[in-house]
Amino acid sequence: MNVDDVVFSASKRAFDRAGITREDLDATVLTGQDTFDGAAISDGRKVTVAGGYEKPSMRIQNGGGAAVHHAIAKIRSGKADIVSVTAADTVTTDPRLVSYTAHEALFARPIGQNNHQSYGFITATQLEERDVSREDLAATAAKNYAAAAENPSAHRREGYTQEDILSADPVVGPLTELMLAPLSFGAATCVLMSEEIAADRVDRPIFISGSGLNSNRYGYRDMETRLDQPTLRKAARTAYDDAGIDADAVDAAEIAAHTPTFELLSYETLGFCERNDAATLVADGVTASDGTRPVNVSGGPLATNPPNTGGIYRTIAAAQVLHGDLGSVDAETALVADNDMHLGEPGRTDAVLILEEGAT
Amino acid sequence: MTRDVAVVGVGYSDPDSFTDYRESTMSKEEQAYDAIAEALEHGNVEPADVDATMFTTVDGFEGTFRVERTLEVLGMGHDVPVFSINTGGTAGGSGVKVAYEYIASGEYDVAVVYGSPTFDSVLEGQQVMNTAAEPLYERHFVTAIQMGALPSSAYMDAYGPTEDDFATVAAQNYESAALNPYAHRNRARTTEEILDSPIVSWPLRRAMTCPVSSGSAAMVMVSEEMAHELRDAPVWIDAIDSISNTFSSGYRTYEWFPKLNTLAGRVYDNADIDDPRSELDVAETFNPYIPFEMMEYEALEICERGEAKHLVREGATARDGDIPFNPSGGVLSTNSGICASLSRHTEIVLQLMGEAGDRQISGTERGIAHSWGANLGQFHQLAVFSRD
Repeated sequence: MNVDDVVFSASKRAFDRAGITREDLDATVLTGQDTFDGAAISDGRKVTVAGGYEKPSMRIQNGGGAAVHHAIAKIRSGKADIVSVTAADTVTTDPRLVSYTAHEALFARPIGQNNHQSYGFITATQLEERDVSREDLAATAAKNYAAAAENPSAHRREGYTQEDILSADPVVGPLTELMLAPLSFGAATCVLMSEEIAADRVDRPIFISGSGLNSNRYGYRDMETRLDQPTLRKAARTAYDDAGIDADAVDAAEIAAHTPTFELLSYETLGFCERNDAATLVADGVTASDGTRPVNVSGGPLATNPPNTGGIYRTIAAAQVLHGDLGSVDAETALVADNDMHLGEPGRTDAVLILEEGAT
Repeated sequence: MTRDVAVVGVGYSDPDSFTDYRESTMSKEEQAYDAIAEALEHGNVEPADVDATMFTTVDGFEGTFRVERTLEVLGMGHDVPVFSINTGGTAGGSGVKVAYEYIASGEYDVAVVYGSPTFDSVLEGQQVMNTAAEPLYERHFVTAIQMGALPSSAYMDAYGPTEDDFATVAAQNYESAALNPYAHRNRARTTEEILDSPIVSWPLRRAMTCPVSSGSAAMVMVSEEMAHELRDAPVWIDAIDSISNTFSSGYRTYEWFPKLNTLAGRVYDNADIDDPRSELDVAETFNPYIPFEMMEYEALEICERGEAKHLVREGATARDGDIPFNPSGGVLSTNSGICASLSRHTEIVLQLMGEAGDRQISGTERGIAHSWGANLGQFHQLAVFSRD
């Protein structure tokens, strides 16, 4: 299917499920990046099939979580009641080459920095500084693949084991091919409404009770500090405060972990465990799909990684978990931690959303 | 929660940076730093007070993809969001709109919108620009100059403006540019000189089309509460919105800008404007191809459809007319990519603050800023600014 087909089908399906027509839509927000679409100003092609003809549209390039963050502000400002957020991926590209051009030109590019290289740096530092082994990384990846095998919307559904992952081709530093996210295709749309409109139109709305967003400065300095993921930490703090909760209230999470490295680090950063306890959560099955706090029931980016669409995919997955349509846990509060680290770790923007079923 | 939103500061990079993009001696970072530093100083805002930044861009032109990830122009740490906003030629206005909505929502109190030169990293942007068009049929013939020529020739056929009219509007812009230290083409030109310049694509002559420029602009926007603390006379955003047309241009109408007219109706309603010609004092619009400026008079309801030629012949939109358009010299004089889109807004703010220097129009209380962009002008964006 081409981009028109996937954007139209995702948008139409979302509109139908939200009980709206194109005419009800006040505005559309797109997310995505020209280089992953092979075209300049690539939101132009998507906006009309996303229902945006004669409507206000916007494109936020920092990812789906940031696009949802902006859509929330648009509704909270009183400038819109119904906003769709859409993205699509249909173009075959080499994400390593694309991400290379997103790196600093004078110093980082000459030494070949790209997304995978940046993950390798962080992972090597993690193995030195945290109680984490390559086996722990592989176990975390295997947990994601096991979840993806049960998710009909996942890309890699083969259920790779810890042994498969460790014996896969080495790529960079400690990371093997199966510890790195693939390039996936697809499209996704979610519809956001003001509280008043949702109460009238939707039987079981999911409320976004908190959100936070921050960006980091580019650089490869202070690697140990980077393990703490300060931008994610602050975005999560803002989102928790906004929702009036703390980490203990989170029943499930979808995390944009492009390698298992970031999933384990994020357990600490988001407050799910103390420092150096992350691998234990995986080993004890706490974050497995049937655990007490499942993380990436969708299979996460290791299973499904459309670069433009990933953040919306994760937001929808979190909503599906709350609705009981994905996984088997009884969750009332879910967290989405999205970012644009498909381009690499330096210069990242983190967006955190708190989703609650039936909250106000 | 809805709060009023004000602009308290604007800034530009050094006047010398507004030049041919191939001759600029300042990097993207240097130019953006200068513009942001000047805007913060102008608005009496400390860098530490900035809650969020909106970087406006078209990635393909930048050479570095998602270039804002590597720009450290605000000396940020890990706690200032950097939004990357790309909607083509309207991206400058889109940045203002995103900042406006965030501040109106209560999420942020202080936001900096900035655009650094967009074309500085590519030797030839045309191939990049072509990829914005529909790939099977349109990409083969729609280039930047055709984007200007198709509507211009259709407009000429439909309503009869002459080459002399186009040259008159261009001359008005060059006269203003000569007063603007941040203009690239900053020499006044006569209508004869403009009409003597070579045809590029009918009916556009070289002097009726924009150059490719360097330069950076920034704008500091704040909540209503902060605005009163920071400045005696902030400039308010009364209304701001955008509109999308079809992607495939075969469905479009070319002899005027109907979508801009629809957008103007919505924005004027929100700003309680009934008679734009009498209620507006100044306008900055997207005029990289000079016939566009006349088409915009009509779509923005400054006159009836087809009547722009009379407006031009009366001098109504000249510097000393009753509704001056593009007193900066417009995009025709200075086309620093997405910065040029943001500059429409910064120029209106300076006009309303009474700080536009030699290009100041007297007695300005309300003005509009417009931008146009994406495939054959798929997007329009429009904002109304006013002062107390």
